[in-house]
Amino acid sequence: MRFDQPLPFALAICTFAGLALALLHPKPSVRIEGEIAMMEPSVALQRLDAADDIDIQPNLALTYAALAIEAGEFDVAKTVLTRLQSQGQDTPEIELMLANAARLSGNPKSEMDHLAAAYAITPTVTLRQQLGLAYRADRQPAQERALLLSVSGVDLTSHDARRLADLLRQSRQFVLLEALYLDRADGDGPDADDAKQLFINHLLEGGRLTEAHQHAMRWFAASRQDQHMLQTAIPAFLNWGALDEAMSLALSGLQAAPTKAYQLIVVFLDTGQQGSALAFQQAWLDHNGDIPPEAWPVLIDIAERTGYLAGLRTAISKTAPEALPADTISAVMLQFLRYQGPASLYSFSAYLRRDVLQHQPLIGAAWAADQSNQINSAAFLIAAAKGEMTEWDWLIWGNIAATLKGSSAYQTLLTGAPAQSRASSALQLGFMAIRKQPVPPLSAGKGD
Amino acid sequence: MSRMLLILFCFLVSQIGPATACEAEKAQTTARTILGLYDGGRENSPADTRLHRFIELPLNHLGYRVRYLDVSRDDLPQPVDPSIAGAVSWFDAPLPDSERFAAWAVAARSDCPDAISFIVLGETGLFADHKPRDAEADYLHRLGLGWTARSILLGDLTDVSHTGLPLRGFESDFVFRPGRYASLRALTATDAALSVIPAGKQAGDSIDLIVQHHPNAYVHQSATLDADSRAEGYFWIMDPFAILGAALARDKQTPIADVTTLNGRRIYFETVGPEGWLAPAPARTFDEEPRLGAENLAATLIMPFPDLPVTVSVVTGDLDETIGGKSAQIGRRMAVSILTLPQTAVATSGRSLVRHWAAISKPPQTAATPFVKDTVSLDQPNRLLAVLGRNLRQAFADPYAPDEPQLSDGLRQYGQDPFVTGAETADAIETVRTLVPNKHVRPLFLWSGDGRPAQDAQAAVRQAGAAAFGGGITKVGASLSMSALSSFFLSDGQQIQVYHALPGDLGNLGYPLKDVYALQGLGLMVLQTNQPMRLKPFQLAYSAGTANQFATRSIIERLKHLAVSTGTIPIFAARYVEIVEGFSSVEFNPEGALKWRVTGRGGLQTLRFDDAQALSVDLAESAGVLGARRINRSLYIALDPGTVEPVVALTPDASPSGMKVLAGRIGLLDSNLEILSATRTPCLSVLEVTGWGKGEISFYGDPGAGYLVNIVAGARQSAGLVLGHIKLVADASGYVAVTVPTRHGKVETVSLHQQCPG
Repeated sequence: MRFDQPLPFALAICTFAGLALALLHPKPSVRIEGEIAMMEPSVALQRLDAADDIDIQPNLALTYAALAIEAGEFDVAKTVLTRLQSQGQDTPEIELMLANAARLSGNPKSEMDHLAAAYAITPTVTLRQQLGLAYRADRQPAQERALLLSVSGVDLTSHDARRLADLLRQSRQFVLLEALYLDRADGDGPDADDAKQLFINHLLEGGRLTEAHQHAMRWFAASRQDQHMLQTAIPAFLNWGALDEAMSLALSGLQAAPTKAYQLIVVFLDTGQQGSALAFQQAWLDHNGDIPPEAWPVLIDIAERTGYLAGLRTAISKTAPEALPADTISAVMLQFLRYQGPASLYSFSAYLRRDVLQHQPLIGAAWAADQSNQINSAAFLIAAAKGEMTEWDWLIWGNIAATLKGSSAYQTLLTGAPAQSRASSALQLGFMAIRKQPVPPLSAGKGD
Repeated sequence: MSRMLLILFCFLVSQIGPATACEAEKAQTTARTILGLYDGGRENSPADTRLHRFIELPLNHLGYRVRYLDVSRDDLPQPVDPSIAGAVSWFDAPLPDSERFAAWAVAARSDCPDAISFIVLGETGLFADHKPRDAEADYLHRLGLGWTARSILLGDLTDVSHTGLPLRGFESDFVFRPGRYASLRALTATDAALSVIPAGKQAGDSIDLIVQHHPNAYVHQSATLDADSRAEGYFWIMDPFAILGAALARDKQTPIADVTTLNGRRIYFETVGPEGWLAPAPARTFDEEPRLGAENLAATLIMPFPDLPVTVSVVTGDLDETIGGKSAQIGRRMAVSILTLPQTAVATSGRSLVRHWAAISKPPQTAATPFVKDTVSLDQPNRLLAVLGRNLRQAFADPYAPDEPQLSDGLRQYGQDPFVTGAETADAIETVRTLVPNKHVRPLFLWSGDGRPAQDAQAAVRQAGAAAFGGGITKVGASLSMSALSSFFLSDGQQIQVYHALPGDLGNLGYPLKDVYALQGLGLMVLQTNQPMRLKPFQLAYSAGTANQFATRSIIERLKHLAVSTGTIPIFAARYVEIVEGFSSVEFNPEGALKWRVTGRGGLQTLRFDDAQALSVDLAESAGVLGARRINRSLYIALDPGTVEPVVALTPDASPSGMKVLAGRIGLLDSNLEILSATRTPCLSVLEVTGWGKGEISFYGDPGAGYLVNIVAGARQSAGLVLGHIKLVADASGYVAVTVPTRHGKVETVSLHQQCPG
């Protein structure tokens, strides 16, 4: 061809242009996709209903199915999606759309089949939960159980693990239940602590004390001697009557972290094991030279609840007066005052600093009265009356006040106490000599 | 000897006396109030209680209204009124003064212990770990329970045992969970329906979780409901209808006030909330003028359905340009246009569209603090530029672009003016009334947002003469459990708040659309609340903005078609409010073994008798009864609205029609038109009716009887246009169906002349 020959050149250009136009012209399916995107959905749906099957490519088919579901045309959606599947296109999204269409058509069995198919392709947590819920709603515990068992116990969500435990318990498949507990307990999920508790309870209920103890010790070691772990495990042993194993755990805690093990004393007491609580308290005190500040409230609480003051006496004897703040000393002294009367304070005269007496004026009143310092005693009684006191402390207050009878200090008390006040009542009762009695132990234990 | 006989005689008389009094009381009253006992120290108010959330609906379905009593703070009534049928509690911990409560419960109706049921769910309110004191032991005894020991730890190896039919659970099966259980056991072994037996123990050592000791019942917490986070809700384990029904059953048939059915058909009503009234629909092209929610609502969901009445609520802020911005011009125009249509009734949700009534109703209210800051703040950096930009925007503003509406304060859509109860209630009602002054249907106030208005707001609406409606559970969730439905209403002892009957689309709006599948579940919920029990009417609740999206709009369209295809009777929402108010006030006064006078019924128009396959209504012995219809295992009685105190009489008769009709008379089977009045004489019945679309009335009369049916426009006294003149013949059973053309809510008179012999 030569450029100086216009006609052939023009024909060539036209032919080339025609070919280009033909090649670049969009396929019907692409054209339809473009049209659909611009249409009102209801119009788009009508357009798709009228389209030829061969015009609808997979992407468009999915759009068509979604529109059909939105319009409530579930049979249409099912037809379109089933056709896609027959063309070798099967994705979780397609199965999920089929499942939802089935559910909304009131066909739970079909819904479950499609959800199961979606899950088989891509086993996600969301799909598993949807399928599990469908099984539960349709009363198919065996199916739901099988679904949850198909996943490693470690990989289940906390909810799914709890649900599987329920189902295994319901079907009395205890071997599998134990395996589940162990998986969850050894994992690092948020329910690991609960799983430990459940597993230990399960073993103890079955009389498998040694196994329970071994697992508890293992977890304690793995937790880097976390006292919290023992604080939850020991009550389980005590609840099932495994006292020796509980004490063994507590002593292990004491060996591993002597300073912090005081927290375990209360665990025994809270479970009604007073004797064991006192025994462990003694072991802890023997093991610790210095008493950490955070332990004092626990020791004081034990004394308050049991009336046995040996532990408190041991503790305070290990601690120099200047090492303790006034509030701690006064709280300790109050227990002695309550259970052993003012005379018991003589042993601790070195601790009865001015700030201690001011912090707890009832002690000041008792101490001053015992020293025959009536004026100071009355002053302390007045100060104590202005604060919060328990009923028993008011009785003690009245008793101390009674020792001032016949003195001008007593007159001051009488005239100063407002009518109908708590102080007034206490003054009337004060002639009774009252001392708090220790709580009788449930088991043999050393008293003070 | 004679002295001994006299003593014996006096003793016998003393025993007979009280029993007779109890029997006499039973014959004179139909108790239908339940005391809902709760601990105010743990559950803040009645609306927050488990009882209200879950148990009140089953009680309502059984015909009972609930009156709440805070056992920790309120005075415990003594004596307990005979109108109290039972007391239901659902504690979750021991009560602070359990002995006081137990003493009251023991003394309650001790004169007629069978006259009151104690139904205990969850905790008994007593401490489980010490031996009950005298009154507490007596209370447990009344429940048919004995305390055997301190609470006991039960583990995985515990056995579960149940008696009677296998315990499949109402919606989900019972599963035992390890834990500490109160050691309560049925005093009579046969009373225990569900028990657990500690590992290694015998049946005699069981702990009983469901005990039915008529008229009382106890259900342990583990056998009530089970939460499932996958469903974002609960499953019922116990069958609340069976447990409550068994306990409250007395040895006689009792009428039940019904709010789901009218003239033998399921009630349908439709409410449109104002959310999205001015919201623009998403545009498909750049140059497309977006239509507002109100416009799409009118075009797609109201005007194409002239035969379905709908109550449309607007907020006056959307009609006022100073509040709603420039779009409010269109909003107002559309409000007038929509509310003028014959199929619409007027409603408002206030002025500023409150989203959190519970928070905002706390006085005093000062100027609202905007949660959203103004777009131009003098404290902003580059404030000069910001001010310049704003001024330029205003100088060159497109006059057709909407001015910015008021900003939200987080509690209301329009939050820049202080909240004033009167402006939100009475003023808003008056404003919408004046929009369409010729509307004669009572306006409705539709509670928006959380639907928890304070008492003063409720009182203001009532004083303004509007029907108040809304609140309860408004969002369709993933679960279709019955526990996802709210009760009929909430009562505070003085006024009632009528709740939505079914959830709607609130919470499902917005772009992108949240979980359209949940909203589509509404269709299933409509069906499931109709079979096997008709628990609720068919309410379709949606927002104006729903019309903006194809997915949500399609759902509403389908449900509207469902309302027609399932043979409902469409009414306005205000009528439903009247019906529920009547449910709350109605009393039944026995006048015979199967005969009752109905008093205080207000707008209530249907009674129901359950398990009534062998009973029919005796129209000859009744007064003010239009007819009856059997649905499932129940008999629904349609009352004549013109009779203030109808008398309903039943007779042993298992006929399929459910009614015994006198010769020459008719008994209504069903109608999709409301019957405003009925005059029935031998061989002539005249009904004034109103409704929409093709009216259908069916009735039973004499088998093979011929009827001349005249249908005239207007009320009976008017001489209106003749709309129809038909000859009909009853079939062999006496059944006849009449088609009545209607004129969109106007009154028509239907006369049925029977061709009687002679």
